[in-house]
Amino acid sequence: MTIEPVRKKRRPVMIALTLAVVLALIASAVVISVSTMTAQQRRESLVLLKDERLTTLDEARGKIQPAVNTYLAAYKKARNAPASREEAEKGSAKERDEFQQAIISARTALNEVQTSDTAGAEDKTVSGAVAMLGDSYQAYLDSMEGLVESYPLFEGLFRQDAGCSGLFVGSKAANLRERQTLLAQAAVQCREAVNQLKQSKNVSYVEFARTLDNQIAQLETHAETTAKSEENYNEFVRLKDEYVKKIDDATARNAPDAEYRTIADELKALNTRIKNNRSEFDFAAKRYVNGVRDMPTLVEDVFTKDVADQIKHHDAVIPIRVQVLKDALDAELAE
Amino acid sequence: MGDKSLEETASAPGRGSSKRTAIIAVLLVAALVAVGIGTWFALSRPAGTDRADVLRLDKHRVIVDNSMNLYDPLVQQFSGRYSNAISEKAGQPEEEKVLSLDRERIVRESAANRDRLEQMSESPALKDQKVAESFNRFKDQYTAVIAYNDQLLINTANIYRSVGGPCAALHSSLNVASESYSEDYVKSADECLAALGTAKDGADAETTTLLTEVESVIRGQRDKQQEVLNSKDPLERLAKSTVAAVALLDINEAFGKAQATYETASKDKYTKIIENANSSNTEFEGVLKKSLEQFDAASGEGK
Repeated sequence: MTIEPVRKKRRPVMIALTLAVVLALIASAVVISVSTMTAQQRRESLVLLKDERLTTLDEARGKIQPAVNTYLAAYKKARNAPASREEAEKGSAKERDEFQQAIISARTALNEVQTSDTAGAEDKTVSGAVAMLGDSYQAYLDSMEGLVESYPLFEGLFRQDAGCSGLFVGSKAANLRERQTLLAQAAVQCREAVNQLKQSKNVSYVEFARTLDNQIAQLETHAETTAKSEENYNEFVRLKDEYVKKIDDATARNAPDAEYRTIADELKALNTRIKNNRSEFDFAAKRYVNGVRDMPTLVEDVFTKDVADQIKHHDAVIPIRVQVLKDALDAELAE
Repeated sequence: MGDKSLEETASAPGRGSSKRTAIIAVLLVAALVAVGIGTWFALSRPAGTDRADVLRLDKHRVIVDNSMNLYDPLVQQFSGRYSNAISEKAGQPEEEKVLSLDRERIVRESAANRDRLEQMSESPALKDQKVAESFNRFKDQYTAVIAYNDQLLINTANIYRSVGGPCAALHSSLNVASESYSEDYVKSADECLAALGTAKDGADAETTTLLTEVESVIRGQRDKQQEVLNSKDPLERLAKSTVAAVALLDINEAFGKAQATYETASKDKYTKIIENANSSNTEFEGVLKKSLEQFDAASGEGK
């Protein structure tokens, strides 16, 4: 009778203890296996990122440049057929499509890299490297997309559609005022296209459009100066004739010396005006000629210099970004 | 019934107690094993990562070293875009855009590099005295490279904003033969000098020297043109303007000299910084390699 209460008390304690220990065992086993599993999963995801996704990203980028070149060549060929801008765009639609596909693949590959599970990384190195790679890669894709998108506009600037070729007035004008008027008319139409080009996603086009816009403004100023100088000159010729008449008249009248001196002073002032007019004309004319002469080079430089430099820039930056990410992943995977 | 149950219950403690002892023993062992596994699991990782820490530190070293190669293309892009925005007078919003995009990219780059160095300095592998010493040198030298590039960013912006901005117009867009040349020159030169003055804010010694030299050349020319303006007598005016025009001929030489001095000085400075960084990197790499070899040798003996 004395044992029973004790026994009755002990049994629940025993059960509780057993349960607690068993639970603790299960819990620790679960914790261990879960953390091993998540560690394993994380490792696998990091390895996947490093070995597969980054390779896919690199391959996707490798396909962009050829696709750009193929499209540009196809469009130019179609346009030179000759064809209008719309026809040329139709004629190069296939290449344009292929480029778009390459861009989509590259963006998908980038997205895969950016959404890789790098969570739990002990430091910001991996996520930071992913973000910086994403930034540079994105900038590259945007600039190439802009290069293709705005190409018809750029290519057509000095054709009929944009009418910037009207800036080369040449021998169409009978005098400098007419030249100035023709230039101003061409500038209005051309500037519209130039301003459109300023909205491009590609910086090379934007910078070119900015420079061209300023060049046009300079041409307009110089054209105005030279036209005005020419008009001034005609006025000077008229004034000179007047003075010749005045002197003849004074001589006929046997005019006093004072009148001759006044005429001489006025002539001196006129001479100064002629000299200054001449200097302004020379200054503006020289710059006008240089501006027109340098314009083709300005256009050429967009692809031979600026775009080439841009591509070189991305070719330098992106591989380093990829390598940094790979090294960051290696650091994470080190054991 | 009552008897039977009593007997049963009475006999239970005897058999039960031995069973209970066994269960307790099993439970105890199980608990001990669980605790043991837990402790091993908890302790084994930090204990076993000494070698991994060194490996990790080495990878971070490679990352920092490799990241330095990004400055060149990034700074080039920034200076190209900024100079275009300034020289083509793209306007304040466009300049701000270049600053916030291309300059900020480099600022972020430097911040990331500093973070990487900070993170490296928390590595457990630095408990090793030799590794720590070598790392500190590495950190100092690479911090200098980062600081150089940060300063370069300021210098570039300041030079373009002044020399490439209001000062560029001075010798390209004014008509020397014009009647109002002296007046135009003095006006433009004053704008240029004001820009040069503010450009010295935050500039380093080399850039300040460059800006000061450009400043003195422009001030000299400006004062000569001012003398032309001051002279009332036409003949004196002519004489002064001839002197001023002749002085202009020397300006390119003076600018060329200032530019050459600047380029040599900043190139020398950078070369030295890079050399120091490279040698600290090589040394650090060697120390880490040796540390790894020691680990490998130790684990080899263990087997």
